[in-house]
Amino acid sequence: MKLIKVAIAGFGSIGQGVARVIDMEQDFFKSNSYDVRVVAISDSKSSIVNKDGLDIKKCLETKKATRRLSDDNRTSLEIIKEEEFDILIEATPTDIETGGSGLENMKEALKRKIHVITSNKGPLTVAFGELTETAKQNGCELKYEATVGGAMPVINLMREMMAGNKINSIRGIFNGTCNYILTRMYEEKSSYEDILTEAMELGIAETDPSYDVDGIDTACKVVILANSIFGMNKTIKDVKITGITKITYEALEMGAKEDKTIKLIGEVTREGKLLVEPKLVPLGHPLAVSGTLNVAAINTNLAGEITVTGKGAGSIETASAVLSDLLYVLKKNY
Amino acid sequence: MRVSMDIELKDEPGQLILALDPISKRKANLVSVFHYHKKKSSGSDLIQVRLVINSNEPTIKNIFNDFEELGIRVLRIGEEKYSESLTVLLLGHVIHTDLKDTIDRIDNSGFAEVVGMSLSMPEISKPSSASLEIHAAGQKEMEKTIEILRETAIEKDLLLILPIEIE
Repeated sequence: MKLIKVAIAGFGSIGQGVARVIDMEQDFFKSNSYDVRVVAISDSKSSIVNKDGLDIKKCLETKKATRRLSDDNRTSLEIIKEEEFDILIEATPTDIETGGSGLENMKEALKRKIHVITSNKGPLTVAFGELTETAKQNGCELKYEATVGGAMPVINLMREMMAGNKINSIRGIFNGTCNYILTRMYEEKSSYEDILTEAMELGIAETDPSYDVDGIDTACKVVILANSIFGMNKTIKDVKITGITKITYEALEMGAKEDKTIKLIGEVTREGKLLVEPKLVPLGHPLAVSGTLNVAAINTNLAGEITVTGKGAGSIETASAVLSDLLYVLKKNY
Repeated sequence: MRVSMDIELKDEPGQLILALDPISKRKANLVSVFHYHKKKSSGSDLIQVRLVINSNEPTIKNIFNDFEELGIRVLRIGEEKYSESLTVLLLGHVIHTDLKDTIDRIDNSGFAEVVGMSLSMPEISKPSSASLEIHAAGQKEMEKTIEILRETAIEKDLLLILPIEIE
């Protein structure tokens, strides 16, 4: 049995989902000869460490009751610098301007030859080249399936399963909040504002929804795809972005008369076009998925067009993408 | 050039193949065949067929002569000005930013026209939505038309929504 020590930086919805999934899958890990233990967890206010492995259920209860993990005030960065572990799961809040503390956490971990798995788009949008180079120099894995499409397998599908195919373009719906709003506006014959309020009440949209509805979140994913799949060195400034805030019910109705719907489509091509804009999509087209679903159509030279769809957000759904990266790192390195 | 030709054929097997033979021999490009099953010509055993052919002018004339020699009557022949069509949406203050001017910019291009439009104005002060059906002479001309629309949308602060097929 190989002992693998994991640290989780960020203990919000995603971090907690990852901890739950690791706890749930203990039998599965053991059946593959891995003894995976979470030895450190940190959030924005506190952290908790146990070199022999933390009691996840207790950590979740403490966090819920006190909004802290313990009396240990150390930051994620201090934990990474001071504690011994093999894999960092980085799930701190995203910052697309500077990469935020997530970027510092990842850089420090990679320098210390700790593998990094992340759901945090910001650092990858800001410093993809630097992070991948640091990982390479230190012989570490940097895995980020959860950053694009949540539970939907996109990056690993293209890099591993479709290896040998030349990817011509990737386009799809990469933001469940926008897809929910557009779907519900037509279903309910309602305005953008009314459905946005509904989405906020349901927790589908953030209190400040601009990151989603202005197309920035989709653009971040387009940048990550451009850099990871096409080997480009793009940032969010290279993406032409139009959001969904100007879409009206009347526009959706006009589209429907043509048997089309309106979707916020993110697109990246081999030639270097990076685009986020609402498009008219025929009903019945593989990209015309409803609700909070995400979808990606991958155009290739050999396999033609391959379309994958799945839940783009959610604590456990995103954790499933982190879990697939974790298994990859385990199998390849231990 | 692209022409459409309405011809008259006997309503019996083998007649269409007879009519398509000259097009094939002259190496013209047959774009479409439309069979008007219900549109009988004055003689009750004759039906009308519309052929759309892409070729140069001498070849079209030769095909016309071939039809006459075969006893196939050509009822109408005309150049098809437009081969591409597209429907786009324009959202925002479509009326207040001079909708006529927006349409004129396409119509005055000489290679495209707005052939259909529907408009939705929920309230006078609120943004409107317009659906424009556009015809263009060819693919390149349609690309130029989309460029005109993009520039117009930026200038007038309108949101242009294109079909997903458009790059």
